[in-house]
Amino acid sequence: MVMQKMRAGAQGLAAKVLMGLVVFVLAVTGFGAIQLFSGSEPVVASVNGDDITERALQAEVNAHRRAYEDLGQDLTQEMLDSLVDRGAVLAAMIDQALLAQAADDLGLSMADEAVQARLRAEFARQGGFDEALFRNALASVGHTPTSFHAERFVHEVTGQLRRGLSDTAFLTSRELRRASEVVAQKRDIAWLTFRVPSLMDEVEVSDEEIAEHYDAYQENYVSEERFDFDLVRMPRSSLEADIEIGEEEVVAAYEAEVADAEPLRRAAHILLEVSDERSPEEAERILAGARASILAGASFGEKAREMSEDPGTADDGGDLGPSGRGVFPAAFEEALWALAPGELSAPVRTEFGVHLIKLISEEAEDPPTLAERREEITARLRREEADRRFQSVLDDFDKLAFEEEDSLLGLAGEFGLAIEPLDGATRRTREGLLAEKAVRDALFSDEVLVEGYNSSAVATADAEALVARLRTRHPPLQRPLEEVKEAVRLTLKEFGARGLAEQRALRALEELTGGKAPSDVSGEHGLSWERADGFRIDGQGVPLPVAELAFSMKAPGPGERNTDLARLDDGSQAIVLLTNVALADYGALPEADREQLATMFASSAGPRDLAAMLRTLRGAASIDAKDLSDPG
Amino acid sequence: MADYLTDEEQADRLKRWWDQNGTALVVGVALAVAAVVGWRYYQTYTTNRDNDASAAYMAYLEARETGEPTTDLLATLDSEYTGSGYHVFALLHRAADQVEEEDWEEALAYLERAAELTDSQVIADTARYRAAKVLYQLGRLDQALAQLAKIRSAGFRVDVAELSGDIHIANDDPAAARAAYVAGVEAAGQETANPPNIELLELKLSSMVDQE
Repeated sequence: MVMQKMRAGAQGLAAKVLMGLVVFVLAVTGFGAIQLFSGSEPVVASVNGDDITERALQAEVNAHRRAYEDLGQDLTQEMLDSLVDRGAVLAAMIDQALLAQAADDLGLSMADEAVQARLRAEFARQGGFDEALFRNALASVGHTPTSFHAERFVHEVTGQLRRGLSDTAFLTSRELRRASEVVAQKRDIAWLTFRVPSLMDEVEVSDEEIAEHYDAYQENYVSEERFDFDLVRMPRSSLEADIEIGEEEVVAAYEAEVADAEPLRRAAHILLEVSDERSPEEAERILAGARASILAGASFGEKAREMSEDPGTADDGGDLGPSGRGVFPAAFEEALWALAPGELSAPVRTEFGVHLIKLISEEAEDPPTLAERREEITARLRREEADRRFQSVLDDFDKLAFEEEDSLLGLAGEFGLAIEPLDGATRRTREGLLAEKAVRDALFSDEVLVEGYNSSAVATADAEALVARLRTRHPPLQRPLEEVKEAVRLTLKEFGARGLAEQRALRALEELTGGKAPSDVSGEHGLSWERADGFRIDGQGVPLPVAELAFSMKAPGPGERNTDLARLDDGSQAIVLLTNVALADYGALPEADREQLATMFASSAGPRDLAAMLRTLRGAASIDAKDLSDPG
Repeated sequence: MADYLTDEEQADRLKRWWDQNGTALVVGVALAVAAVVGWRYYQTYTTNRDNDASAAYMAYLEARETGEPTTDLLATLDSEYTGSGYHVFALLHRAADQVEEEDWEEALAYLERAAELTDSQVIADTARYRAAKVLYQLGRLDQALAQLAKIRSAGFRVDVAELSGDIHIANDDPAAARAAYVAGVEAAGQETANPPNIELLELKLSSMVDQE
């Protein structure tokens, strides 16, 4: 009886504790836990249980594409696709997820207000935080302010982790010496080339072989597809002739200009140059000291006279006189324009050294007179009006070309323009109008070539509005054997010569390894050895495949030599002979080389340590990623 | 049948049930509430603490950048947030600053302290790898190798092998150096995703004459 009661009590207790746990889980995770059970978006990778969704990947891919487009390059969709590899983007996102988890494990964090402050700084324009800019930027990447804030938090703490590792990495002078003696080493090499062009004469090709090859590879011998287009175009210059700019407009523009004119800034500075004896950090420290003493009451002018290394201004207490924008280096200008009159900047680095800057005063310039400005203002207003008209012509072109989509007659009639031919264009033509990507994209679009419609309106680089349509399409044609016979013969000769080069080079290599003297080997083939003694890995004058092979070959012992075979770009074969490897003496290298090596190795220390950490995190993680190498 | 109970009987049962289970229920609910409150409090506490450490670290970086005094900020990280991620980063920064000054002993001390204090294996190994570089610089080659031997993080295999090889060269032991370089190249071959750049390592290996 007692036992039974206890058991019942125990069961009840277990149930209650279980109930308590459910309450606990819901309270801690919020109702987020419930989402675990509902269906969710497609996931492309899971990193230790954190999912990367298809949608997040696509957003990141789009961001990469936009970054390339912003470079303003002439990029087609296909080029963008090849530049932005989804697999590589996903790999970077996986790394980022691993870093985020590592940052969390390390307790890296940032208060909401601090994240907010950084967002505000990033989306600040003159006069403070730009709410519209912020919201637009978010909308373009599919974020809400909340999700963006969360992403920024992760961005900040992973940034701390990345920099905490890579900014603290270093290179010791001993490592630098060791790396330099290896990289700047010199190798004595010789190479003997069996050249395809000279061997082609030895290859006989019969008419039967030519016919056989032509039959087998007919698709290689077709003419290119050609297109004849009709164009309607209107030069922008024709819109400028009758523009009249009234006096009132000129006066209004002049007054606006005067009102907007920014006062000049009269600055003074103390310059410390940077040299081998004084690092930028050192100069900054000295100037920070000077700054503190000026803030404590010392005179800027006296400090400048005492320590400034700008001979032009030191005697004047550093006074640079009044200046507008665009005079000083960018970092200097940015610092100067951030100051209120009388204020001091922090030390600023430019190509001249490190500066401490003071804004003495703002000085309004005497504005230029209306007479002085009339000509330029009139020209500007004329240009702006022409821009407006041109834009409206482009809009009309687009509209008319679309409304009457299977003829250019209406458009040409409306503007009194002639229809001009552009004949014989191919997809590879890059001359005249077709030198421009925008024109090619419009002419070779599906709507023009496949549907047979008018193109959309294009503004060309020569400032013309242009619409085109396809008149005739000349499909690719099989070229007859007679026409391509010599081309086929050359192809086959080249092919045969490659075989010959390889065959002879392999035999010669065997003879060399068997102990035959190099001069005998070359003499037998009527060839001669080329040599480069003391050749460095960054040297010139040796074919790249030969140099690459020579620097991957093992060092020979004293009095010995090592041999190998390199294949050149045109199929020629080169026997490479390595007779000596001499490590460099770091101290004896020219100063410029030492500096270059130091910069190179020092800058790789941070990425190297970071990469080691990422490899470690990847190795220890459970990562389940979709293979993105196949599309679909 | 027992299904039909009078009100009195029901009240009686309820009372008995309460007598049997009431205490447990009250204790269970109280425990759950306490656990939730405690957990939430603990979360808030650690987050605030992490945020404070973060702010102190950012202030230190800022001061270091502008050349203002860092002593107080470092003292705060040292004493209030000992062993935290931020404290360890600050130690790594100080080590790098000492390397810049060529004060190798000080740099070594900071790195060893970082390796000792952090809970993170990979950060500790980063500090050990750097400590080995400093010991190599100082010519304390056996100690440098001993530091490298402590590294357990798989991602460092290639770097550890290359540095060991360099140390063996300095120690005039080409056979050991060759073995280390070969191990490094092999380890790099096993890295499928993002293999490390081993051009220099391969060149070091190919510059050695075979001793057979």
